[in-house]
Amino acid sequence: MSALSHDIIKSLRNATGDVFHEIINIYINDALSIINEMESLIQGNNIEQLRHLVHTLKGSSRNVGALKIADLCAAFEAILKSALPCDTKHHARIIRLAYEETLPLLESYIVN
Amino acid sequence: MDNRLNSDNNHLSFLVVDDDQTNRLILETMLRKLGHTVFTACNGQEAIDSYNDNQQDMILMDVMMPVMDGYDACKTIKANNSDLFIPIIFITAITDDLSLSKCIECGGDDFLTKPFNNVILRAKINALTRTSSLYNIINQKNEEMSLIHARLQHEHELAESIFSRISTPPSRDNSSIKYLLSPQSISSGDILMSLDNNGHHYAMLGDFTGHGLSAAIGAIPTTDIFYSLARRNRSISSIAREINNKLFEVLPTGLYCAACIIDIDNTTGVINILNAGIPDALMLMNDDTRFTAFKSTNIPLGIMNADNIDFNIYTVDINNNGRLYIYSDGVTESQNSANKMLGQNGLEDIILSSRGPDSFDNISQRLMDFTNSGQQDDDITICEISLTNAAHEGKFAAFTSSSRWDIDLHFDNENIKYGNPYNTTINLVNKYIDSANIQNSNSLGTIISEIFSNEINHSILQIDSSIKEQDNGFDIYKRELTDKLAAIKDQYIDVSISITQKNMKRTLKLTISSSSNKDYPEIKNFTNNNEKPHGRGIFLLKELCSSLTFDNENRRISLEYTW
Repeated sequence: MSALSHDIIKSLRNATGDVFHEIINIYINDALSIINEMESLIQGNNIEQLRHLVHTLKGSSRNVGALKIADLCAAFEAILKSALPCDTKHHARIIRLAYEETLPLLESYIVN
Repeated sequence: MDNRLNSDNNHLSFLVVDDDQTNRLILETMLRKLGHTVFTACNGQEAIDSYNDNQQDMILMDVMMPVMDGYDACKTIKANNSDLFIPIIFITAITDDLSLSKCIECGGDDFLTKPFNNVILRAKINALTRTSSLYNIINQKNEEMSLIHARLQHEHELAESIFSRISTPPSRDNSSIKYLLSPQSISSGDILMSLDNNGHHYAMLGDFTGHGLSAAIGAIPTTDIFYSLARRNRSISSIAREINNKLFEVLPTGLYCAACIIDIDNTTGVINILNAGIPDALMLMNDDTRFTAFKSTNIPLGIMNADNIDFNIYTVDINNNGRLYIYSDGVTESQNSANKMLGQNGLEDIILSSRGPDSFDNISQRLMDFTNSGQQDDDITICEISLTNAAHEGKFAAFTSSSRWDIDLHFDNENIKYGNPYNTTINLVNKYIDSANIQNSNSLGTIISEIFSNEINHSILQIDSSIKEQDNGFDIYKRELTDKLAAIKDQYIDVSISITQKNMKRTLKLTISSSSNKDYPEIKNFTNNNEKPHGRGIFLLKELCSSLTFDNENRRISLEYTW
């Protein structure tokens, strides 16, 4: 399965036209900021704020078609919500890897 | 009027609330491309502030946000604007049932899930726009209804003010008339009037269709005409005719006045009752257990022009003590808590079992007890007129001290058919003679009886008296009389009577005419023929009267009798 849904991103491009580039750029920057902040919060063990950030990243990722990130965030959010013990660093790490995998795919839509 | 979400759905204003810039920008772009104006907010508190400033047509609200979440923002906006329909669509990635139901509980109207789909977004906007338009139309109609209601309330109060000024009910000090008025709404459709004038006690109960302003419109001329004509001692048929024609002129179709007009004529000792659409007037003599009912025999007033209508009037003697009850149909049609109607029998039971000095207070209390336990759908008016009031008698005596008495009587078709013109006339004559302390004569009854018998049986019904000569002739004659009387139409009898007393000599002058065209026979042909069972009445009149004239030119009989 591709990290990026081409159907969703094409649909988004059709719906937003000229603003599409700006939207993708904002997402790329915001998503990276969120992942960085998630890692900081894990250091500080601030679970509630962490859950909120994971939820936010899940929503915006789904909107731009970054489904791998969205799905990983959904799983992480569910674990955080359940209050069961989990390896938060591991989840943050695989989300970052998914981001790095998705990034060139997104950039290819901006370039083209 | 609220112009929100009017017909131009292409140019709405939106508030997009999301803490994520990507989501905000995507929705903002999509909505702008659809031609809408977009405001944005990053959390619930900003959304409330923005809505207060801009009153957007629709709100797209994220759930999880810092400062204030979407649930609380939705609740606050809806609560602050409870008279408006503000569509709020929750934008959410949440899919669990509990969270989604929370969106609805806090006032959300729909959901939009991520990733946003342009087609679905547009469809949801259209659907909510239609709902909003309907809501606003209903809201607008409700506002209009509230205004109409307020205006109607004002008009009711105005009508009540007019009504209470023009239809002042009889004074409670008037011991001869007691009444209960219980209007169903602010203003009643019932009026009750009473006037003592020159030996006559007039009373009228009117029941207008409807209440309030429509009733007040009719009540103005009705009260005006009643008091004006009663002060001039006009007959109740004249009063009814005048009121009828005025109401016919001023009231729209469908509005009319059922009425009962009464004239207690102490100058002659009779009561005249005209019932036009009111339930049976009930007369109860003291110590009696049966009512005499005076049913409606006329159409209510104001339905048709009455120039050519002869009102049917009951004329009864008041030489017995008693009470007369008139009441609106709201009394007999009133219901108790078990939805049981009082009915005519119920009212009669209450009256019969409420004898004694406080009888009417008891009747009123029992009626109110009955209706208070149920719903009052109509005005309730009942009036008791005492037929034993000393005040009337005093006026009667004063009025009848004259030494000359004239009266003109008109008996219409129904009076002839159902009434007894002879009884009415002889009662009037005897009343006068008694009150004026004039010596009576046994022959008066014979004369008046024969003159009416001749006019009805021979002139109007044209029955041949020679029938009596046959076997069973009297039975045949009687049967023919009954049959022909039942079939008469458009007939009348006019009688003029004058009684004078001078130097202890009393003279009755009487003239009678009718609708008949039949020539009178020659008087000289009537002889004292004891062998024939007919024709003796006129001979008797010839013998008794000092003068008897059959005038075929003017179609009348005149006689003069002295005693």
